[in-house]
Formats: sequence, structure tokens, C-alpha cells
Amino acid sequence: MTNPEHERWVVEADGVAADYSGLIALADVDLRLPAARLTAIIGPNGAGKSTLLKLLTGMKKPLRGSLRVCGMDIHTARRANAVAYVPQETDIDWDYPISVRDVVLTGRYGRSRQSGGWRAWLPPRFIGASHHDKAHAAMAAVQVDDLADRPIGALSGGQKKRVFMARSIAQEADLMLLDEPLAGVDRRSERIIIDYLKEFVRCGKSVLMVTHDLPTVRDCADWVVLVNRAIAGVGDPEEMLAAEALEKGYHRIEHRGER
Amino acid sequence: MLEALVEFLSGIGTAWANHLLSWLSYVIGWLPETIAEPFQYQFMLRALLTSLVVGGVCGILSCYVVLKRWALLGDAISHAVLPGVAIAYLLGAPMLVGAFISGSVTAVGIGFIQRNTRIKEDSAMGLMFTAMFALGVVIISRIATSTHLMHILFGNVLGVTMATLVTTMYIGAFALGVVLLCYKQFLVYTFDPNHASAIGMSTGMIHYGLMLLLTLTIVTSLETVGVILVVAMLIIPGATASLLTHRLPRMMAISVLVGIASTTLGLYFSFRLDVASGGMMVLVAFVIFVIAGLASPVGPIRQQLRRRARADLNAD
Ligand SMILES: Nc1ncnc2c1ncn2[C@@H]1O[C@H](COP(=O)(O)OP(=O)(O)OP(=O)(O)O)[C@@H](O)[C@H]1O
Ligand SMILES: [Mg+2]
Repeated sequence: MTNPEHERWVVEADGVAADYSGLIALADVDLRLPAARLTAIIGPNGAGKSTLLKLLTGMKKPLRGSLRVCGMDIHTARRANAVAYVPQETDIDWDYPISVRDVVLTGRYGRSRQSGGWRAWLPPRFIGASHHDKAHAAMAAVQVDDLADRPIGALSGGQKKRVFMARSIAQEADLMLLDEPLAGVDRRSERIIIDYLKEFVRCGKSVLMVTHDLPTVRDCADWVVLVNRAIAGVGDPEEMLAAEALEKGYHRIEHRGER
Repeated sequence: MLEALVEFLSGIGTAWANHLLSWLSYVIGWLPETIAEPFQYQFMLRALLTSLVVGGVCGILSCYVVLKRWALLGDAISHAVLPGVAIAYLLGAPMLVGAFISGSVTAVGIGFIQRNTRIKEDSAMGLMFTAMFALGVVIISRIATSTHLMHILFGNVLGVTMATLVTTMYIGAFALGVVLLCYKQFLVYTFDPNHASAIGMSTGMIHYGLMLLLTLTIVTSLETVGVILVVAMLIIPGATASLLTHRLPRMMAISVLVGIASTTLGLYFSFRLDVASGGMMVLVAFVIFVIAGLASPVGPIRQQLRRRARADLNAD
């Protein structure tokens, strides 16, 4: 793949590997992803898709290799609030005593620290009206503002995804990572999510979305990464969703699983 | 230099403690004679103030323990401080320092076993904390009487000295201050550590900060409820509060109230019935938990009421 001068990379990985107490989950990741695209990450269960996202949030440290996002090293990107993250449903404790409004407001915590001043040390309610306004606007953008006072346990699947999207929107990041935002989501929620992501990309921002929903990938994605314990392929949707590429990407895991 | 500082701090602390004690005895003076009677003794007043502080701090920390599912970790740390306490006693050093060191050694040991062997986290914890506990029991049996061992294992709130009370108050104020200042960090870290990392919070610092607070809380509770039962005070208040509300600030408030109610009522009943204070405090906490469970919005009592209301409606 060539890189014209005007194109920026949003992810640059060289020889990255990640493990869970010795078991390699991802190996030999060499990856260049162009900015301002909606990139879909596909691959079988246990392929390391979530692990790839966790490397980009800095939650997981790479075993080896070098990793940059938005042209910065991970630490700088984190301090700059460059990367926002929408978790997979199973990663959240839905009994946690917190309301929708407070979840979305956590998207502003990093920004309130960046803007400095003594207010950053105060409890969430007092961090300033501008942060509260931005959180409210983010809720309105994905139509969850009328749910603001609900505990997060009392939401439907689609509403849950949109609440976490609102948190990411409130963060005003350049790169949005979404881990299976379309799983268990009805038509209406899917429409709202996809429409927002397309708009986000049109503004020059980037999206990295893990999904198992191949028809949506065909319709909406600009770029596709096929993951299977390593990068099994990168390309445009037509190329990557062709039968043989998919076969290759989804097959290796069974082969490895036998051992 | 350091000694002067310690002197200075303990001077201020003692002044404060005396202030609070006289204020407490004034408040108690308004209570009915039967309730107020045990607190005419100075040692009971000291015990009461210590119980208030310990109940409050345990209440706050227990929210994090419950939300982060750290019950086993709390149990591990509380047992692991024993050898540190024993050695500090032997050397005449502050108990807090010894407890803190042996707690940290255990935490590092757990991490080491996990990284370098195939043993899983729960086994590593069980292994390290029982070993440390055993070491503590052996050391104490060598240097102290069995009454002493009993006091460390099960607490002896009636024997709280002024110095211990002052230390407890300092640690309590410190824990409260940290939780207030780092409320946002702790909230995000316990709810979604991935997001905490993405917005530039140092998850490692937050993790160890919480562990440090947990260790400090355990150390302050040693004299009141003792090594073995302290974990109950780190679970029951938070668990009770989580039955009653869906908001973290409210959960913390309820949890503190439950903590304070159990330590003070436990103290009172232990004096009246002449039984072990630590055990009584935990029993009171458990009774409050059961009552909250029965009366909570989804508990059997309210459900029965709702069912009856519906039946009445249908009958009309
Ligand atoms: N916390 C963990 N501890 C140990 N192993 C883990 C952990 N998280 C993931 N793994 C392992 O790492 C591998 C990759 O996991 P990952 O969650 O990245 O897969 P995934 O592609 O997101 O799968 P899914 O489609 O099921 O979400 C799997 O084999 C999994 O068992
Ligand atoms: Mg996943």
C-alpha cells in the first residue's frame, strides 16, 4: 500500500505482540491504518480484536514492538485525550451504581484535567458548566438525553451502546475505538450509531470498529482489518470480504486450536 | 527533625482528640441514662470515638471492595499484616509501619508467583496470605502471651490508648481526604479501567493507591475488630448499601452509616453483655445487612406489599 503525502496514519504498529500471562494473544502486528476512515476489525472469537483495542488505549502494554496512535506514542496520546473507547458489553459491570448522565460525564474527566485549574480536583458535579453542557450535547447526539437519570443497569442493549458512545463523543477524541457496538442492537439504534460514525469520519476523525456483522461492514466500512491472532489481512471491504480472504482469516484459528 | 515533627503532630492530634472526646461526652449527656451509663468511663469514650472513625473509614473503603470484587484481596491483606505487627511489637516500632511492610511484601509475592508460575491468582493469594499469617502466629507465640495473641486476632477496643486513637484519627482523615480528591479517578478505574487508561489516568497509580488505602484501613481496624474479622467490615457495609441504591455517592453515605452503626452498637452491646467487641460489631453489621435485604426495593417484604396492593386493586 502506498502512502501519498497528504495521508496521515492513525495507527502505526511495528512488530507488536501481546500476551496474557505468557499466552500469546497477538503476534507480529505490523499495521498502518489511514486516518479519516471508518475501519472495521473482523475476525473469529478469541482472535485478539479486543486485545488490539486495549493496546491502543494503553490498558495493555505490548510485550514487544512499537506502537503509535494519531502520530503520538501511546502515553502522549492518552494525556491528549486522543483516543476514546466504547467497551464490549461483557467488559462492564451493569450493576455498578451509576447513572447514564454520570457515565457520559466521565468522558469529560480527562478534558477537565487538561484545562487545568483547581476545579479539576472537585467532585464531578462541580467540574464546570461547560463540561456538563458538552456531556449533554453528546447524549443528545445519540438520543439518550431522555435516559439521563436512569441507572445503567436499566437500559436495553441498544441504549447501553449509545450511552457509551455518548461518553466517547463527550471526550472529543480524534480516534474512536468501538468493541462490537452493533451486537444485540435493533435497527433504530444501529441507524443512529452508524449515522453518527459516518458523520464523525466526514469531519476528518477516525473510527476503528470491531464487529461480527459482515453485511454492515460491506455497506459502511471504508477499510477492513482481518485479525486472527495476527493481522491476517488489510484492505478495502470488497477485497477483504471476498470468499478466499475470509476463508484464510477465519480458518487459521481452527488449525491452531487443534494443537 | 523527624522526631520533632512526630511530636508536633501528636500534640495537635491529642488536642483534637480531647476536643472531640469532651464534645462526645456532652452529646451523650443528653441521652437516656441507660444508654449513656457505660460512657461515663474515659476508656469507653475513647473506644467510642475509635469505633466511629473505624466504622466510617471501613464504610467508605468497603464500597470499593464490593464494586471491585476485592473481598478475597481484603482478606489476604488483613491476614498478611500479622507478622509485621508482631515484629514491630518486638522492636518497639509503630505497628502501622510493620503492618504496611508485610502487607506490601505479600502483594509483591502474589504478583511474583502469578507471573513466574502457572498458579492462578486466587491460589497465589491463598498461598501467600496463609503463609504470612502462619509466620505471624509463630512469632507472636514466641514473644507474647496468648491473651496478647487473642487481642491482635480479635481486637481489644476497650484497651485503645490515646496514642492509638490519635493515629487512627490521622489515618481516617487521610483516607477521607484521598477519597474526596481522587473520587473521579477511583470511580472511572473501578467502573471501566480501559476508559481510565484512554483518558490519561495512571491506572497503576490508582490501583496501588486503592491498595494502600485498603491496607491503611485494615491497620486502623486491627485494635477494634482484629485481623480475622476486619474483612467483614470491608464487605458488609458496602454490600448492604448496594442493595439500597443505584448511585455511588448515596451508596457511600449509606455504607458509612452502616459502618458507624455496627461499630458503635457493637461496642455498646459488647459492654452490656460482656462479650468480644469485634465479634459483636460484625454480628450487628450482619443483622443490618439482613434487615436491608428483607426491606430493599426488590426484597420480599416490599414485594409482598406490592402483591397485596395489586390484589386489592383487582378486588375493587
Ligand atoms: N484477561 C484475560 N486473561 C487471559 N486471557 C485473555 C484475557 N483476555 C483475553 N484473553 C485471551 O486472549 C485471546 C484474545 O482475546 P480477545 O478478547 O482479544 O478476543 P476477541 O477477538 O475480542 O474475541 P471476541 O470476538 O470473543 O470478543 C483469547 O484467546 C482470550 O482467551
Ligand atoms: Mg472481544
